[in-house]
Amino acid sequence: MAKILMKGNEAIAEAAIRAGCEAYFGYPITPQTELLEYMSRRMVELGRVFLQAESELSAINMVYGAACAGARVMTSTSSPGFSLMQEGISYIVCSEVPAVVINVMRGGPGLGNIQPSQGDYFQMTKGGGHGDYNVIVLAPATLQEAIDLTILAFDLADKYRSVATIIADGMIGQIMEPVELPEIEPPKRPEQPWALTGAKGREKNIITSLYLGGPNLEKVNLRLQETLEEIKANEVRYAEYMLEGAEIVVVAYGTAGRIAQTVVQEAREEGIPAGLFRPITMFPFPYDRLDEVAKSVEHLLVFELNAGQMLEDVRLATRDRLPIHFYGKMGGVVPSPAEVLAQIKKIASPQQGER
Amino acid sequence: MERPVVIFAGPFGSGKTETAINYALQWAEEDQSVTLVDLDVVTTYLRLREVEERLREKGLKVITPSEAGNIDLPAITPQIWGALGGQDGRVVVDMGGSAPGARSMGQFSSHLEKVGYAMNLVVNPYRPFTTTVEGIEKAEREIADSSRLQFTALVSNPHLMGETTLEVIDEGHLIVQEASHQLGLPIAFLCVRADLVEEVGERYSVPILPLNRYLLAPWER
Repeated sequence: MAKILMKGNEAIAEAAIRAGCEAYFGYPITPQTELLEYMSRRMVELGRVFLQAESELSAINMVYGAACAGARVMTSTSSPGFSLMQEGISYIVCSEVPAVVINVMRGGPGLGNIQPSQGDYFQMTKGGGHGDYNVIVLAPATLQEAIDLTILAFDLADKYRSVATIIADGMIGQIMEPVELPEIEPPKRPEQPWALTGAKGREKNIITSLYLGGPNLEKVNLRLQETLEEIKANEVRYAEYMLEGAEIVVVAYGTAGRIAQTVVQEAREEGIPAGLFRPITMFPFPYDRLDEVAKSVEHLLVFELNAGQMLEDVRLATRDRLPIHFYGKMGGVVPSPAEVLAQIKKIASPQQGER
Repeated sequence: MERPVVIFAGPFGSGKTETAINYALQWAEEDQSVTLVDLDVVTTYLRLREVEERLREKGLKVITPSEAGNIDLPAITPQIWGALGGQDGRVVVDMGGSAPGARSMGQFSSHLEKVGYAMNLVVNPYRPFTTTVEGIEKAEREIADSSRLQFTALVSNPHLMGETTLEVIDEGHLIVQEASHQLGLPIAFLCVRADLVEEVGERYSVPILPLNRYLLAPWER
């Protein structure tokens, strides 16, 4: 059977396994718990490492340890758990070791609720923990894309010796879709001369995020910034839908992007020239391409499951040269396509009136 | 004669809820005493209680956990005891997925032994852990143990949602037939997406339950 029916959380877990994930550490939290459950079953079947830690703090530090030893390693969590992991992520980035972190976001702030949300955009794309850094942030809108991006996350983490994350909202974690999984093959990983594999017969390796005295920490920071510049230059990804002749372009990602696609289709059927720009890498954000797209349209409608976080990047990309509208829902509320379509009509109606 | 309590159980995501809804609606056409009970205390999204109002509008009696909100507390309402204990009523139970979801059923097992029940293992051979007969057998054992009840039949639910074709049904149903043979459990019926029922026609010897989807992703609503 080529295709299989999977839940988002399961699909991400199986993709990680196919990508050669050797160790998984995590702590259960809704709405990503199926991911951990799936790993608890499959990783053990495959003789790989699965460990349910006593908290997200220990999970991320176990990830740090395994990453230092050169293992392909991953953890997954949901918003409050992701907050707890920030210290560890900052350490991992500073230590320049590769790791993958999945955040299946739920409603916040605080303990919030277990419904889908995109409220962690700032936290994920602007650093999240202390110090000058960003992590790579990939946003799937379909389960097939979730599989592909999870595999990509491992490769990017390796390539840049940094943290790559998946920004998924609870709905992506919970829905089911038919998917195709790539065949298992040994992962192609770069050499890891830095890994702590036992120093017998070679100079010892030191991995640290502590640089006391002198200009050493500045050097590390400059190198981290160089890496970020490389990531910005090489890894920008996005999807475009019905931009041909579009006058109103919706900018949305994840579940919001999926809803927006339905909405754009419906708007077109009603004769409204709408289109969709869907960033896939939230960091690096597709500033240049969005700026280009915005040059030939009249309005942008930013649609997010939050109070307007990506909105700031859209404004930055376009320098506010055109009217940018925003529609957002918070606290785990997911609007129907009809509600979003109403926003497009509101933008379109003065123009239609003139005709 | 139908047994007074018909339970739908199975691994996570095998299609229990959609099957239970469609089955209850069909049964209620003949017998208005049918009550649909949501006993799923492990699923967090896309569960029966999200569509209970729609089902009530169709005239179906529905009992769901009392906390209508979106919380993940494993709490059930005492009303369920009322429904299961009734003399005349007919009850369709949507059980939680896999062994953890089946555990909440255990408290009713001695009562159900007395009143009689049918418990169907809903199987979609396109789901990760039930693509083989061995996988289906393992699921059957784990859920039966956890619920302290015995399965009486399988429900064949081979599909890939929107990508379901006749070939998909054919290939999948074959695996469920093989599992049915191995487990010594009959196939109660085959679920077929409503718009494919005509195409399927008289292809299979088992009864067919046409399925209309009730639980939709936000972009499908």
